[in-house]
Amino acid sequence: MKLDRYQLKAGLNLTTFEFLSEGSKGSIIKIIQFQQMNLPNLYNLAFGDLNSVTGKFDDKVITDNGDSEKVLATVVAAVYAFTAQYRDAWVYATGSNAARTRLYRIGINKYFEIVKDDFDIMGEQHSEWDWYDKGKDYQAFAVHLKKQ
Amino acid sequence: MKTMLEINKNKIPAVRIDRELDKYDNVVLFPDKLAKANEQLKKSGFPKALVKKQSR
Repeated sequence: MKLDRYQLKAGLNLTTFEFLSEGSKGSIIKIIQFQQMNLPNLYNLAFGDLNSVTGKFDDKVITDNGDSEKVLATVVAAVYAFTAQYRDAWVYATGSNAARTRLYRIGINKYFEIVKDDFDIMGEQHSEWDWYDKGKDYQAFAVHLKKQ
Repeated sequence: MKTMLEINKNKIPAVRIDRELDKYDNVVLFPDKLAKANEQLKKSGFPKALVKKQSR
């Protein structure tokens, strides 16, 4: 199954990615950054818009550009690219609020059958980590590309 | 039967390298998000057995 997604650009180190969302609100520059956390090999997935007027990055904006499926598939593609480059990395993700975290969970569940064979996926619930269960609600997620 | 690596290679997207993005390598573009994630990590920790020694 090949998902429709945008063309990704990245810096040489594959830690910052950019793509152009094209939808009902026009063309919007999206930035994905894998940020080193306070634990080795753990990287926070941060994602937001680059305001082309102010030059500022915003991860709280609700773009509503009518292409959320394609945007989500593009973010998943960036996770593949990053974790293929940094094979020991775990990518950590949590939403900027509860509603966004719920959207992440919906996104993971949507693509779970596609990605479960490629990634180890964990969920954090009430400060406890466990292997991801589609039926559970989580506060954060972490994924790691499986070894061959 | 395809190996896992072959499957992964098929799913790994073609990424265009844009050296203009290198300027963000040492810049945290979403500092609030990183701070929140580290705060959450402080509370919940992370299974240490899963993370190997830093390789970057």
